[in-house]
Amino acid sequence: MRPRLIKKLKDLLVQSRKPKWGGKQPPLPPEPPEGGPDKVWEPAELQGIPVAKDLKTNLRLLKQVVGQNSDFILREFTVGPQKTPAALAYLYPLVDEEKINAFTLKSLTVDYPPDTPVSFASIKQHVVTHGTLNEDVSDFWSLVLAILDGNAVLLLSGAASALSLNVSEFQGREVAESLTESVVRGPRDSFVEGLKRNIMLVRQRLKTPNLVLEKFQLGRLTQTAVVLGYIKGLAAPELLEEVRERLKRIDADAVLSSNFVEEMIADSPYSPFPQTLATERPDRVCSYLLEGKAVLIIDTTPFTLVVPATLPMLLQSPEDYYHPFAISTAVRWLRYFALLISVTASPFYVAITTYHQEMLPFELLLSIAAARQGVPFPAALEALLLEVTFELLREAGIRLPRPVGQAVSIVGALVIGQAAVQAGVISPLLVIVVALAGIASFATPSYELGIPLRMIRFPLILLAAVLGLFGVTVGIIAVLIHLAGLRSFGVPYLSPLTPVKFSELKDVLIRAPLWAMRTRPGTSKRDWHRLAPTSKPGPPPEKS
Amino acid sequence: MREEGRISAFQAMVYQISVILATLILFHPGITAMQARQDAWIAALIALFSALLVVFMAAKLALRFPDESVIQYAPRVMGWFFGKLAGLSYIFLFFWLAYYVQRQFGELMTTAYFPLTPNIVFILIITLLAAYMVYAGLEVLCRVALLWGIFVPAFFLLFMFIAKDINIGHFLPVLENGIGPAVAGSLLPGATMAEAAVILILMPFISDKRRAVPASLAAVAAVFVVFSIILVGSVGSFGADQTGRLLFPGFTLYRRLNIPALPVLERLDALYMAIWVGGMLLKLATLFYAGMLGLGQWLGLKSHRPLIFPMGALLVALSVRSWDNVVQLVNFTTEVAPFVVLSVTAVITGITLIVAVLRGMRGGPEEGGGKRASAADKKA
Repeated sequence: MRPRLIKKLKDLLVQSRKPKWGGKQPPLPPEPPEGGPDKVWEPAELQGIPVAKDLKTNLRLLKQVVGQNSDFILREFTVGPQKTPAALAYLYPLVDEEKINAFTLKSLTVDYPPDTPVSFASIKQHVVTHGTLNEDVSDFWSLVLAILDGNAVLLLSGAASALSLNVSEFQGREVAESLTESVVRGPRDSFVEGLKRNIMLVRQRLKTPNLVLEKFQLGRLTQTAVVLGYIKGLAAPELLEEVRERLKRIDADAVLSSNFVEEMIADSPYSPFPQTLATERPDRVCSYLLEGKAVLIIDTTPFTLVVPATLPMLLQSPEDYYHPFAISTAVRWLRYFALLISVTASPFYVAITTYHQEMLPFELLLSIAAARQGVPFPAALEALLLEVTFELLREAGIRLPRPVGQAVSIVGALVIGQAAVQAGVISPLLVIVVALAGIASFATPSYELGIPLRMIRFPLILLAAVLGLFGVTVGIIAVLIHLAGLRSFGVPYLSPLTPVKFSELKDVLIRAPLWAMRTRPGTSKRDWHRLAPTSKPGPPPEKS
Repeated sequence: MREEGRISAFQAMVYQISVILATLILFHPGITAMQARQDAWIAALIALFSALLVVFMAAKLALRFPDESVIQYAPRVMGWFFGKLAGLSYIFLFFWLAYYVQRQFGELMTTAYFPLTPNIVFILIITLLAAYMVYAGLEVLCRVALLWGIFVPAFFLLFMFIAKDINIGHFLPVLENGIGPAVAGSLLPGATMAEAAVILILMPFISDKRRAVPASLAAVAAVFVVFSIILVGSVGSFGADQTGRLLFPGFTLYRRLNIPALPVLERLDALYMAIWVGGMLLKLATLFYAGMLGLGQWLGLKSHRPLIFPMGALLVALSVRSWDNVVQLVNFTTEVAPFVVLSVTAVITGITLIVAVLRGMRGGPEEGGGKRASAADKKA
């Protein structure tokens, strides 16, 4: 009884110990440890066990580690004329069985070339017919990881390593149109959940050997692949070093979505404003790569992160570059105006109707007074009520199952739009103001930016109710100070507006014609000229 | 003591403008018009030149010791005791101006907008915001100042609409009582514009130091333009008598304004307030910051940050206790303030500069310092 108890406690201790990545390896045990089916395997422990020359030892341990899984396949067979025992291990949902049958098993058994020695070197050279061959694995942790990653692992008697064969096939969503960032004119494809397909979408657009994709495995249990992409020579090396440093610092059990990375690498962890730009459009990712920014493509999520992100970047839409520059400039200003409205409309309404009635022309004042006649609440409470209702509708609209969604909009329109006004609970003018602000907030291209901007309205309404326009001003200044103090990977959040960089304002205050955008933004390492100086189009000079 | 961050000469200019602008457009046009009467514009010109002289002197002194602030090198130049005394006088000047600004702010808010609210409410709010900015540091301060500066020209464009009300007759006769009244009237705006001497504190953080001198002079010129617009606008449309009686002429001017093309908004003074509040906050924050930085250096502290909130509380208390009412505040502004400001910015700076020149003292190689700084700037 007692020895078992002690063993259990020891197991618990092992479990609670944090894994030490790349730390000192424990002394090699002479024999692979015995463990019952309940043993929890730690990476550090598996890292310390080398692949043995004896096939049976390997298989016994492998069965102990992953053998109880119903989807685990261990196929034992013999190779070559000497009948060398071998085994192939994989998880069948992750692999393409066709590849295993035709290119691996068949060529290893039936079609094995008769006068070829049995060794990994010759198997790689003469037998296996896959395009991609992974590196040999020599310890059990990499072996298990290779299996879990969708590879088939070939173990051979007498070899102190194993061959990992890339036969994975992940079934994923097809590339579809972007749901969150749709455009009228421009490419429609968007990222999906599979890393491979996302990389394909980027590579299709940037055919340069200087596009570098570095891979990181994050998440102790999820082992999510995070790919750091950048263009050599354009991205600043200090930025890349910083990104690598921050990625390596992530020691979490799971990376399930882009936000798991985003929150772990933010400069100001308490700020509600997004400090990385999340996009699901490959064209947008490529344009930022060309500006010398770094991107993080994360497996199992369609959202790719761009760093460093600034506020002007979050207010740009890829569509800006797919229309003539004059139109894009106008639309961009419309968007800035929408941002202003979405933050200040209802606070201004509260401030003006409560404190500064004299600012309004007489007729407008009369109609506001008439509309507010009989409304039992002060303007501030009225505005807060309606704003909360709007947020409720928005949230419900997202969460509700699609068939019910329509009911929400009907109820929202009827109850809020009509019944509340007719009942005299809320003045119709305020409904207009709040609806306008709501719509304006969705004109912000970045959903992540829209949310904090909408949330700012609530304290601003309260300030407006207490101190009028002065309160609104104070609130906005406080937000501005916060924004001016934010940095994203060392880049000030409001740049190039402040600190001002005049050469970069061409893509913020206006959207300069493409032939006039000669220089890259200062975040890129070298100020490579993007175009020839004579790029301005026009009719050919007249011949005299 | 080490303060993180570097700013460009352009940002330093914006900082200097923020230090001066907000109060210069508050009481000052009225007081200048009261003293100089129809020659107010001449007073403004005299003020410009005297301020340029003082600021040029300050910038030259700052450039002599490009890697230190005046608080740090004054003891070396003038001996420990007198140097520390000079340093203390600068710190005193900035803190004194800060709580003076707080009180001016509180007075305007209660006089013009919230007559029933005690002014400490406004003083507290603006001080908390300023303390937040000071805490955030020099770079953030400059960024916010620049951002707020975007609104300023847009707002002064609106004054074009009162140009039609200006009556040239209000400026005649020129120099009725000789140059005396104009000189008297120039004292206050001149002293206020001379507050650009804050460059003495900012210099070590400027990356392109050579351009700091023209930038400082440009800052004075810029505020002069704004000041003369309000001064000429209000004297021209109200007459010198009435302008002299007005407490806040710029504000009254704005209240008169209505734009025929935009009949939606009338009486834009609330909007004026919104923009002016930002300016006042920046003025307070910049002064507060200069004072805190100086205090930290004077005491030889590693960081001035722990002192920000206690000092802010002290300033609030001083601002409430120092003047009994707005009339006292205006009289103080007329009779005491310019001499206090000038005695530090002009006299002490002048003495320090003369002593430094006579003793032939310089702080480090100027060029090298500039080059190193620009290299560091490029790297950043």
